[in-house]
Amino acid sequence: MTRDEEIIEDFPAYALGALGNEERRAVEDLIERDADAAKELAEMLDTVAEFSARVGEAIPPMAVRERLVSTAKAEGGGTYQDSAFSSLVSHLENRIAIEENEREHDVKSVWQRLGSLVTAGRLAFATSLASFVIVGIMAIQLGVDNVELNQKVSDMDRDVAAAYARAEEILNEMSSTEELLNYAHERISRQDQEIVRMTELNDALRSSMNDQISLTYATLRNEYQSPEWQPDAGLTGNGYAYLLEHQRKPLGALVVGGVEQAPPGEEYRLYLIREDSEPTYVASFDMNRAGYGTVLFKLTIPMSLYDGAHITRERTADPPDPSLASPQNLYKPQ
Amino acid sequence: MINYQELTDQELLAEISEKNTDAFAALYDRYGKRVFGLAARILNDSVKSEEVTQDVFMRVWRRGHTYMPDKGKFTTWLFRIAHNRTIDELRRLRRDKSRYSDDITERYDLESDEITPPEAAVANSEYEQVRASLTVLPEAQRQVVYLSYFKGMTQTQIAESTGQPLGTVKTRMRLALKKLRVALENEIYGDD
Repeated sequence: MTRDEEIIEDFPAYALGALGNEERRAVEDLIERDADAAKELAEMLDTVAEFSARVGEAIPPMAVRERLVSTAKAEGGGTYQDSAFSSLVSHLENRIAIEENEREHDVKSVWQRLGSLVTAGRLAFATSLASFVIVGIMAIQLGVDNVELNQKVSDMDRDVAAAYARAEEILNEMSSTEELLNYAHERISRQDQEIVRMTELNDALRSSMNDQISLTYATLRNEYQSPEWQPDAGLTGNGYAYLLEHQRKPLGALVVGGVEQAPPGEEYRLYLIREDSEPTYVASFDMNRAGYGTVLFKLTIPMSLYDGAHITRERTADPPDPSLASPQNLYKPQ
Repeated sequence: MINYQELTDQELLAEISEKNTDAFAALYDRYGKRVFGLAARILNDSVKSEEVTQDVFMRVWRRGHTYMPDKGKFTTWLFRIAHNRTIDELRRLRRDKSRYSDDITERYDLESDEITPPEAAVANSEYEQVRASLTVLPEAQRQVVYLSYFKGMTQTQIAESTGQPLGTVKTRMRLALKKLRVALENEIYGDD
């Protein structure tokens, strides 16, 4: 037996699908080059195909047809009818086919009685019915779509209105913030003006104080005279003092400016100093709120016999303590 | 408007080659139930049968132009694709789940419920014709046809399972097909 004869022996198995892949390819190779063998196999294949066609029908779900047609369209297929329309037509045709099958088998069903009324124009009737149904479905669908669309537009309008309202709130808040900011700027500006005014007032007060000291000094000067020496202008920082001596009486005068008020329970005290003796306490005094003070005191000897003056700040309850007079506070004659 | 139901298989295939989905739908309407019925009868599984049916017709859609009329009828080409695809699925299921018994006596029983899928609604009147065709075969021949065609067994597997020599299986298949051809032709002529 030749190899080809062995392969031909496999033809029935090939037709029945009972070969492995290798044997199947061998058969297909042979029929490509042997027309007689191909004819012999074709007869067997026809037999099996006839057998297959008679195994029986079963109605697949409509979804199978829909998927096939939609896939075909997705792969570039064209159509002359709407797929839903075709599906309905096909569905009706399937029902008609079932009717016919049942009628052939003398089965009296509803479909058979219906089928007897519909003769040659059955397909046309089915097509018209399908068209009517499709139009109805499309109208309903369009209505549903329209309602959904209106709802979406309404929702969007509401969203836009809410966005506008929020934007307005933000603008109002911004406006309020701006007003607050302006108010703050105005307050700052007023405070600046107040500071300027107070500074000017302070300067005027200082000037007035100086003027008052000068006026006091000038007034006293009519009866008093300045000793040869004067206190150091650096008495207490910015403070200054003038000592005067009455021209006819044993009186002295001290005019002080630019010195802070003594805290409660304390006072300033004036000592006159001679180099060869202990400082002599002559008077206690305090400053007014403007930092200005004037005190008159008795002199036991002419002021010209003293070498200088000494001012201390001591507890009011304590007696004068000449030992507190330090050289730093020594008033030297100019 | 073209009435595709009136077109021949060849004319529909020509339209399908031009990517006409209406022609494709018409061809499905013509043979879809038979292809689905065949798959359902063998697989006894509606979902898998749907998949097979889809695969078969998508192959027609994509490769319809490869069908050559001079090598056989369109239905021969179509049902061969359908049967091969169904058998492939059956073998795959058998490998995956071993859902089909290896008991040869259970497999070979034309009267059992196993070959009457309850969910497939297969038209039993036609299957009666197939069953009748098979009954004209001697027992041994009917067995090899059943095991190969309905159960997807190869001739080698049948030989091993039944304990028959491979040559004997081949001979019985050949004789079975000859008798089957005569029986089916008689039925066809009888229908006319």
